[in-house]
Amino acid sequence: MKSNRDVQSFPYPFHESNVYRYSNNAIPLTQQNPVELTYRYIDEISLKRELLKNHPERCYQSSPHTMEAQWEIVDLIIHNLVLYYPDKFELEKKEDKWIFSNVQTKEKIAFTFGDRTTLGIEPLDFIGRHVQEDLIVMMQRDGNLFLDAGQLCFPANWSLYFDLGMSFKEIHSPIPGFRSDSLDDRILQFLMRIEAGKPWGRKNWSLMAGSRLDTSLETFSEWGQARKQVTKENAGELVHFRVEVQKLFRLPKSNGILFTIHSHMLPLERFIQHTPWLEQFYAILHELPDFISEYKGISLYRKQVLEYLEEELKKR
Amino acid sequence: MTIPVHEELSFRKGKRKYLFCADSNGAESLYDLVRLAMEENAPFDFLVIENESDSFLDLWFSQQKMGTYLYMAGNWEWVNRLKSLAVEAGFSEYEMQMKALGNRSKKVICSKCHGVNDVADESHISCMHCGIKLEVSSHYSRRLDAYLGYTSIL
Repeated sequence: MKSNRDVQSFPYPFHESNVYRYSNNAIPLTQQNPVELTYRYIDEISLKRELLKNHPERCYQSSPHTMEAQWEIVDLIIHNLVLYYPDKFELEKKEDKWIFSNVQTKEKIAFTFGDRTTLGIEPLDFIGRHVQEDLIVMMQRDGNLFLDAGQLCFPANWSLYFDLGMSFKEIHSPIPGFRSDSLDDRILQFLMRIEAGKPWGRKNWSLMAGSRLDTSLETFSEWGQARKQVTKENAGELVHFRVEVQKLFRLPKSNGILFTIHSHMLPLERFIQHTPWLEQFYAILHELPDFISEYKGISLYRKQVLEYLEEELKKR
Repeated sequence: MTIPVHEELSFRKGKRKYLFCADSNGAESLYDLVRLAMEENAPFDFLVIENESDSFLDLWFSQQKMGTYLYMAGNWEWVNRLKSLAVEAGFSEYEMQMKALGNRSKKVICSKCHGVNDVADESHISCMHCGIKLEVSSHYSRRLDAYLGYTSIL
């Protein structure tokens, strides 16, 4: 019998409403950890490290002025790792001399906190290799937020290389409907009001044809093709539900914002095991406006997915 | 730095010296200004630049004294090249005017290989580096001074 841990640990993204629109759906985090470990930890950090080695330009970018923020992120993440997962991570500190141990990978890393030369790679790049999340750094200046550093291995069809240095609105300008009712303005204002010690979280969802986590813009020609192969018969297996759990932390010294993105995937046939999920998702997908469906990359196979879901509904 | 490119050039009186640079097509649009500089008895250099190397131009720009005013006229690519060299040598946007001729070219970054393509007003191109078909978008990066070209799966 197949284990249910994939379904049980899957972050369901919808609330009561059967209507989905872009919104600022962030809520205060109850648990303040910026990162979470799942049963896929080893597989996913191995994949991250492989991608970083083979495609450094698309997976890691930073501006020099983010160094202070990067160290704050190392501090924040390491302390949360040892707090929430004490059997998996250890930290010994003698003033600025830190020894960080990752029990699962059997790695022990000694470095001087604040001295980049003792790490070999940049602090953000270093800590990102021990967590499943993608890590994005936004710096605040002139009443705006700019994407100034990031380790991004599992992007949902965007390019860190291209977007580096852009303001919040510039990054989101390709999203149709994002500017209506000044949603972009309101979210930007919300982000700039985030306070240290009061982190927020939100979930974002999409569908994808295929099961790869590294859906970078750079490799679209490889994985985008599968969108044309979806049928009512194979949708349950081929199409995956993808949820990004996103968390936002203000960094008190540099005043930057750490944005962590944990991407979860589940085949549609597993996702709909739970009948309320099937019913609500069918309603949402059925009602979804074309411009959102288009932007989420669902348009080419939406009809096939809806037919698949209808058949499943009849069986319940 | 974004420096405006002018439709028509205007003469700035009272500068210490004038530099007039043109490619073979742009020379004519500078004649009136040269005449005005001569009337002012101001020193000037007139240079038609075709194949001069970056290092020669860099040296020439670097040797100019404060108060030198620069006029450029040529095709877009040529103007952009001269402008970058002048800015590198220390000219500010208040010390130059340029006129660009012909079709404007813009840079498009290939979303697959990050290669840079020079594009006029086409909406679809083939990347000159990796060959993939790209759709030119309006997504613009100031850092790269370029637009994003999306790959399609068609």
